[in-house]
Formats: sequence, structure tokens, C-alpha cells
Amino acid sequence: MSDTNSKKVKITLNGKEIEAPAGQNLLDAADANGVEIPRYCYHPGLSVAGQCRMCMVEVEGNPKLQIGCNIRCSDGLKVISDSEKVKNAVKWSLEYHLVNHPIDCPICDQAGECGLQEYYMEHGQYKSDMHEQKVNKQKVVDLGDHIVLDKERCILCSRCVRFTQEISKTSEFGIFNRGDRSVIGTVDDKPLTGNYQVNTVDICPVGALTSKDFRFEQRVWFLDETESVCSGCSKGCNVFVHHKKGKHIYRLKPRFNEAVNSYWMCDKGRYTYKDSNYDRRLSNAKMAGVDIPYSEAIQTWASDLRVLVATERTDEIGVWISPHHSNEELNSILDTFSGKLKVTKFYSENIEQIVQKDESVDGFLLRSDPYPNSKGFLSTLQGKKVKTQSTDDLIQTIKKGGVSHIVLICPEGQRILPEMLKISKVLSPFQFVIVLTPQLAAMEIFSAALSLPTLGHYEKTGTFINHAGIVQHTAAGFKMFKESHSVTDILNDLMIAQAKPAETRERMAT
Amino acid sequence: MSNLIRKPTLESKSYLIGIFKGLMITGRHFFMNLLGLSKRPTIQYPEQKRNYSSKFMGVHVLTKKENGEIACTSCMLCATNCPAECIHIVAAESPNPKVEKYPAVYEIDLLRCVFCGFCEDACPVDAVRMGRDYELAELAERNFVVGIDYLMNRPALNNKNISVFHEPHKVVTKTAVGH
Repeated sequence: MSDTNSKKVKITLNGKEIEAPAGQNLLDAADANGVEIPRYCYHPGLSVAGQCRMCMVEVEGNPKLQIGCNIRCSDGLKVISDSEKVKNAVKWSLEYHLVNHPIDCPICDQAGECGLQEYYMEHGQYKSDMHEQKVNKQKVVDLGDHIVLDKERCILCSRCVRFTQEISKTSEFGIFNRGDRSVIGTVDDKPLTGNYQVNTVDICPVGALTSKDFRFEQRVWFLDETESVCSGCSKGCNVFVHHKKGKHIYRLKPRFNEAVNSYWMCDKGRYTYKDSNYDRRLSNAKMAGVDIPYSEAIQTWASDLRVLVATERTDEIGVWISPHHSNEELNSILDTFSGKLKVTKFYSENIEQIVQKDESVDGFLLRSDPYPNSKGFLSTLQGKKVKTQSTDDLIQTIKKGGVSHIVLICPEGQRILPEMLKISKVLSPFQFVIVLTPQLAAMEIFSAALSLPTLGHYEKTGTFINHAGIVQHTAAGFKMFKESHSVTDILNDLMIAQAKPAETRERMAT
Repeated sequence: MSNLIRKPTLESKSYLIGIFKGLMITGRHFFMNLLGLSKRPTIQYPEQKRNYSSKFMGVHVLTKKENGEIACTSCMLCATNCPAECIHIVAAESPNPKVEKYPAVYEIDLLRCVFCGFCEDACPVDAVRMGRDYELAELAERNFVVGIDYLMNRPALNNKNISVFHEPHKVVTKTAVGH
């Protein structure tokens, strides 16, 4: 994040003339042009430290090698990064980093995405000249709820130190002692605090800082990567979802987006994947707790709707929605119920109030609005001229007997569960309840209802509007359960089944 | 069409001769074997056993450290290298404070396994070896998924499965363990 001007300058990198913004860091300029200069301590989101000496380059007019991360692009700069002299320097630099490294890759969680492993394959010298005993340091240091520190594996790049100084502003990490006894750590190994701890694991180029949540869970080379947007709050941080063949999500990692979250994300958002994971998910359509096929569930729902439509009682339908859904899902919900079935009773939380009160919780990323698409929710409702009432209104209407057909389109997450519990307490056998949810817990609350599994947040494709009005697209990369469908697909199937019962039955059977 | 229908030849008409020729061969082999006149490849199996080559790869063995702990560090390189995807490992924090990671579950599905020995090649700590057992009859399919108990402690191994990295008085060269 160098302060770059819009002015472009011409620099020569390995004999090739390239254009770069004036003042841009040389490593960033090299990255943009496909030249890889090895680095450990340099991170584009942090200040320059010059700790690791891996990015040595030759600069014309300078007799000695110098570090690339401390060079800003200026007109006429001539840099060579692939000469023998540079390669030799990088090789010995890496050897020096490995002097006291324990090489315990088999038990290290970083193995597979480790900077040492990657550069060793390219620049390593394969035959160590080091015959001294390695300096032993503390291993498995517990640093609070999220992080485990291994002081032996650390190469003292100081990325985590700079992160806690510059980004999270907690200044917890420091380098202690001198020489080969230098270690990274907190004072008296005190646990870390704050909501941005796990970012230090992401930026750690080696396995010194590892996440407790991911500890020993899976080797990283088994993981597949899908791009998505966090569901934790209205910030909408860009994330990578790491999962194994779509059957088990293991972790979320921040994805760079300068306009939204830069290189970071909060710990609260990082653990939102747990609600989308297989063990908390509804895998099959259920009627009163018994598994039924998807087509049968749609038929059951459609036949009840047909009665209501035929007797012109569609005003007895109540629909509960929330801004956890994408714009496309909300559109199809409103098209179906407001447009085709002329339903007027929509219920949700008081989203307008939540959006008005929305503010940054800690002055950085996390916001008070817990929904990823509140803005999209309000604009979609405005576009369709639909107004929602509160959950308490729904409870009052149920008590009065004003609704007999209740559709609850629940998202995942713990937040909606208390409201669902309140609704479930006033229900009687006279109401037909349909729960569209990805979550097992929501289905269990309405044990007598018809439950249909929907897609989890990280399986959806759609657009979400964050607090600043930025529209972000998520692409579906995997599907955890065969029987789960998107809300849009379910409502489409419902409308077809409702209109043409016999034909649909045939279509679904095939 | 007519040229497609073959007329029966003289040989096929006199099929009795063919049957008789066949029976002659069967009969010859029967009496040769009965009287022990031919070289028989079969052996009296349960009593008599064949000598296999020293390279023979049978059911896997998990090795131990000196103190009887499992030598495996659950790095999952065997599972990565396995072409049949038959190795299932769940890693966990070891109860021994001196050991960081160990396999809480190490299962091999012997029905999926192709006994290629790639797991043995991949192992950096000599924790999994190909053993010499090949008698694998079981009644239920689930019995073919064998765990640590069978792989490390079955009586046939006689407690001799000590990893070379933990054998007493054995010097392991520095290059062998790593950098």
C-alpha cells in the first residue's frame, strides 16, 4: 500500500522495459509484470522492514546488492534480479534462515503453503554446510483462543510484529533476545486479545504462528479453494473458502480487495463457516421430522397452496425473510409471493433501524449490522413496493388466527434462532408451516413443519450489497448436499407444481 | 443371403470324434496327476506354504518407538501418495507432552488397497511398512478396515516392529533425517 501517484515511470527489470506508477514498491511492480522476487518480510499491507534479505537485487550504479523491497520505482531505474550474483545471495540467505529451523514439516500445519518450502525448491542449496547444533526454542506456546506459536520455526520476519503495531494496533508481538536466541512472542507469553488475531497466521510465511481452529485438521494440499464473501456482517469481506471436495469446509482466508477489506478479515467472520459446515446442516427434506424426497415435499407444499389459491385465501399466507439472502433470492421470493400469489404479509426484523444504526464496532472491519445484504434487502423491497412487519407482528397475527400458511425462509447462523423459537411457541396445528433453511437447528425448532434444505451461504451464487453500497458477486463452487437447492430453484419448482400438478409429478419422477 | 449359410463340413458332422479327442486329454491329465507322473504346481496349502520373495508386500505394519508409542507423526504423506485413497488418518495432539502430533485414527481399507507400497516409500519416519501377511479372510466387509490396534500390535509381529529411527544403538545419519 505504497502511496503511489498516477504518474507512470519507465524502469528496466532484467533487461526488459516496464511501466510502473512512480513511487510503487519494486516488488509490487515486479509482481505486476510476472517477475517473482523472493521475500519473507515484505507484505504489501504492511510497512517495509528489510528483515529477511531474501529480495536482494542488483541496481545499476550500486556496486553491492541491495534489498528490493526498499526500492521505489523512479524513472530510469535499472534492476537485475536473475543474475548469478543475486541467485547466490538468495541461496545463502535462505541457508541462513534454515540454520535454526527445526524442519519439522511433517507435523507442521503450514507445510504445503510454507514460504521456506517454496523457496527451498527454487533457491535452496540442498546440501547443508551447517554442522553446529541447532538452537532449541520453545514449541507449542499457547497464545490465547486462536493461536499457537512455535518459536523454533520462526524466521524473525517481523510481519506479525508490524501487523499488531500498524493494523490491529494492539502492539502485542515483539522480538525478544539477541542473535540466534532471538524469538518472537508476547510479554510473558500472554494470550493475544482482539478480533484480528488470526490474520497473523495468514501473513506468517512459515509455520511459527498456526491457527488453533485449523490445527492438525487437514493438510493444505487436500483443500480446494472457492471465492466468496463473508456472511458475518455488512462489511462483506472477500474470502477464500477452503474445503475438501465440497463436503467439509475447513477454514476461511481473506481475499484481497482494496475497496472492502484489503488483506484482512476479523476472527468473528472467519468462523462463520462453522454454521455452513456439514455437521450443522439439514441434508434432506423433512416432514414432521421424517425424511421425504424433495419432489414429494414440493408436491405437499404446492397442494396446500392450490387450496388457498382456489378458495382465494392467499392473504392467509405469511412470509418471514431476512437480509442473509442474496438479491437474486430476495427478488425471486418477492416475485413468487408478492407478484404471483398476491401475498401482503411479509415479516422480518426491523432492517431499516439496523441499517441506520450500522457503525464500525472496532474502528476497523467489523460492523454492527450482522447481515451481509441489508442494503440489498431494503432496495429490493423498495423496488417491489413491499413493506415488512416485525416478528412480533407475526406472532400477534398467528395468535389472532390471521395466517394459516407460514413460510419461514431462514438463513444459517445463531442469530435468527431466538426469533424462530418465539414463533414456534405460538404455533398450533391449524397452521401449515414451511421452513426453508440450510440449518439443522432451525428444522429442529419446527419439528412438526415441512422443512426444505437450502444452500449454505458459501455455496450460493448471487450478489450482495455491503454497507458502502458495493455490489459483490459470489460464485458457487461446490454443493454440500445433493438434496439441497437454492431458494430460487425451490420457488420455481413450487410454482410449476402449483400450476400443473400432474405434469410436474411426471417431470420430477424422471 | 444364401451364401451366408455355411454348409456343415465333414469334420463338424463327425463331432463324436472331437468329443472323444477332448475326453482323451482330460483323462490323460487325470491319471497323470493321480499317479504323480506330471509336475504339479499345486501345494497342500494350509499345511504347506509357499516361500515368497523378500520383496513381497502384504498387510501393512505400523512401527513403534522404543517406548511402545506409535512412530507415525500423521504427516499424511502416505495418504497423499496412496493411489487407491485407502488410508484414513485423523491427527490429534499427542498425550505425551514431548510429542506434538500423533494419529488418533489410522485406518487402512484393505479391500481398496492395491498393495503397491507407495505408502512405505512416502513415509519420512519409517512408520508404515509393507508386512508379509497375506491371509486375509474375513466374514464382514467392515473387518477389512483395520486400525492401529491391528496394524501395530497384531501377534504375528512379535513386537519387533521398531522404527529404524528409534532402534536402540542405531545411528541415523544427519542427511537421512533432514536438512
